[in-house]
Parts: sequence; structure tokens; C-alpha cells
Amino acid sequence: MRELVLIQPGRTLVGADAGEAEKARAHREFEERLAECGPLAFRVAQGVLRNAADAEEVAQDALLRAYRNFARLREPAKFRGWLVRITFRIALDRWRSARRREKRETEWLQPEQRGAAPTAEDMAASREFQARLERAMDELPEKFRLVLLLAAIKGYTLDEIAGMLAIPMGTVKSRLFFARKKLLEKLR
Amino acid sequence: MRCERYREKLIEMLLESKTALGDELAAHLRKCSGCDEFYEAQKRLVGAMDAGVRVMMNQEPPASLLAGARGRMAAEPAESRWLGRSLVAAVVACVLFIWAVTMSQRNVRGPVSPPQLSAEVKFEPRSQLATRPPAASRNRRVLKQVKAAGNMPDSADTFPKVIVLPEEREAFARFVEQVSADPQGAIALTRAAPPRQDLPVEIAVLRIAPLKVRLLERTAEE
Repeated sequence: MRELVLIQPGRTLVGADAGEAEKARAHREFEERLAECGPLAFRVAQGVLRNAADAEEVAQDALLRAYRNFARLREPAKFRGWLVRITFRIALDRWRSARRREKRETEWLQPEQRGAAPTAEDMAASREFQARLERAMDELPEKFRLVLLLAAIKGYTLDEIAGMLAIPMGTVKSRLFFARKKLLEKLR
Repeated sequence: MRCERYREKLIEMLLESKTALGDELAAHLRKCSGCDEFYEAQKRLVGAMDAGVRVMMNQEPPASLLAGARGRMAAEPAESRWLGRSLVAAVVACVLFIWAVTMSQRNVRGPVSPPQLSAEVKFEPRSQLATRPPAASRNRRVLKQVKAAGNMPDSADTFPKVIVLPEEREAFARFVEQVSADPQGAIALTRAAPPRQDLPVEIAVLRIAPLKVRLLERTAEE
């Protein structure tokens, strides 16, 4: 969606007109980034929440928050990293509150569930492994988890992740190594 | 090197995603079947782990993602305006509240005014003694402080007044009369009246004549 601002020849934009034009410009710039960064926000949220519906909502929340504050972003080149951090933060908040709720519900439901415990045959081996992997990821410290998630997204190199998070390449490598080591220890 | 050390190296290599084994490691794996099995198991585990995370992170976003985001962005200006207005209203309400609290506190304390001092101290002609309100000395001290602070003009007309009730004045006059009727019992001396009548005079000394002290007589019961 493009917006045009018509100016009479020889006349400059002043006051409210200038404000509107600035808004339109910011909106256009944001729109250009939306298509590229929207899926990235979704994937980061998905990596934390592992639920597509929740991840979509969180990604939209993050995009909206970024849109509101887009004019304040001093370096538009850092938009991607900024959006990733916003998304990760919102997703973590959502994940924590969901976990608390889940814990409460589990405590309430436990006596009823005792009789219908799933047998070992019911659980597919891959599903069990996935569950263990998810648990292990949940226990990772935040900064290691974010690097692990970003590194797993197709199309992003470690160099790009370093630029996105504004940290040195060596730090990205060491965080990724530590994250994978922790995961492996928990999966063994 | 012991097997434990080789295994640590193998894991490090896997975690760093290095594919080529070094000569030393490769030679050890050929010799040690236990380490070879360990390496294969760890390779499978790391592979499964990476694959699991990759699957998790590379799901296609739903088609509604961007449309939903655009819809929320389009609804945003109205929300912002509402937010702006509500913020202004909240700020105005806070200012009014603070003003109301300040004013109510002022009313409770009363206006800040200089202490009330007597400008109308009158002398009883009969006793030749001046009356003075009981709190006069305290008032004078406060007056000095107020003057020093520059809060009060020197003009006598602007001085506040202490109200001395008629019954108080009469009671004091009766007391002075009684004292002066018996000069042997007590003598009240006064200083000369100051040139400005707006300042109270004070009784300088109140002497009581030597008292006779007697022991109490014992009663018959004691």
C-alpha cells in the first residue's frame, strides 16, 4: 500500500502537513520491512512457544510494538535485531505465564489423571525425544537460547546473527557451542 | 591419551560441527571399538538434536500473519489518539488532585500569619500596676523572631492584638490590690512604662516577706 503526498510547486510542508508526511514515510519504510521480518518474528516466537497460534499472536504483537516505536529507531539498519529482541522478550513472557498456568492446572488435574496414565507404547519414540529436546531448550539461559534458535533458522549465517544481536562473532560461536553442549548433556 | 580424553575431543568436534576427524582421532577410533561406538551414538544424537531444533525453527508462518499485523497497524492511529487523549486527561486529573490536596492542607493549617501580640495592654490606674497577658513573654520572643525574619512591618498599627478578657483583667487587679494592701507581706515592683505603649511591661520582681517556718505540733493521737 503506497501513499502519495501531493505538494503544490514552490510550497514546502509545514506544521501538520509535515507531520503527516513524516508518518506516511515511516509507514512506508515499516511496510517494506514487514514482509521480510514478519516470518522471522514468527519463527523466533515459534522457537520459544512451539505453538503456531501463540507464535502468530506474539509475532503480531511484536510487529505492532515495533511499528509504534519505529520513528524512534535511530538506525533503521538495526531493525531486524531490534524486532528479534522484542519478539523474543514477548514470547518469553508468554511462555512463562503459560508455564505457570500449566503448572497450576496440572496440580489441579493430577488426581484425575492418575488412573489414565499413558503407557510406554502410546508414546512414539520421536515424540518423546522431541519433548525432551523442548524441555532441555526451555532450561537454557536466555541469551544462549536466542542464539541457538536464530542459528537454526534457514538462511541466517553466524555472521548475520552477530550483526543482528550486535555482539562479536566469537561470542555468537561460544554461545552456540555452550547451548548445544547443554542440550546434548540433557539429552544423553 | 586415554579414551575419556578422546571422547571429550570427539564431542567438542561434533558440537563445533566439524566434519573431518583429525589423524590422531581417526587412528584411535580404528583401534578402539568402544570409542567408535560412542562416537557414532553421539553423532546420531547431535544430528537428531539439530534436526529437532531446525524443524522447530523453520515452520512456515501462517498466511494470516502479515494480514493480521497490517490490520492491527491500521487500527493503531485511532488507538493512539485515544491513548493520547486519555494520557492528557490523566495528567490534568493528577494536577487538579495535587492542587486540591495542597489547598485543603493550607486551610487546615490556616494562613501563615505573625503571632498575635498585645497592642492594647492597659494599666489599671487604681493599682498603678500594669496587666500583662500570661503568654506575653512568649509572644514577645516570637515577635522578635518574626521581625528578624522580616515578615512583619514595624508599624504599631499593623500589630496583631491579644485579647485580654475583662474577667482576666479584673482577677489580676484583685490580686495586685491584695498584694499592695499588705506591704509587709509582699511588695510588687514595676518598671517604668516604656515610651511606646504597644509593648507590654512586665513585673520585674515579686518579693515575699520573710516567712516564718514552724514545726507542726504533734496531735494527741500520734
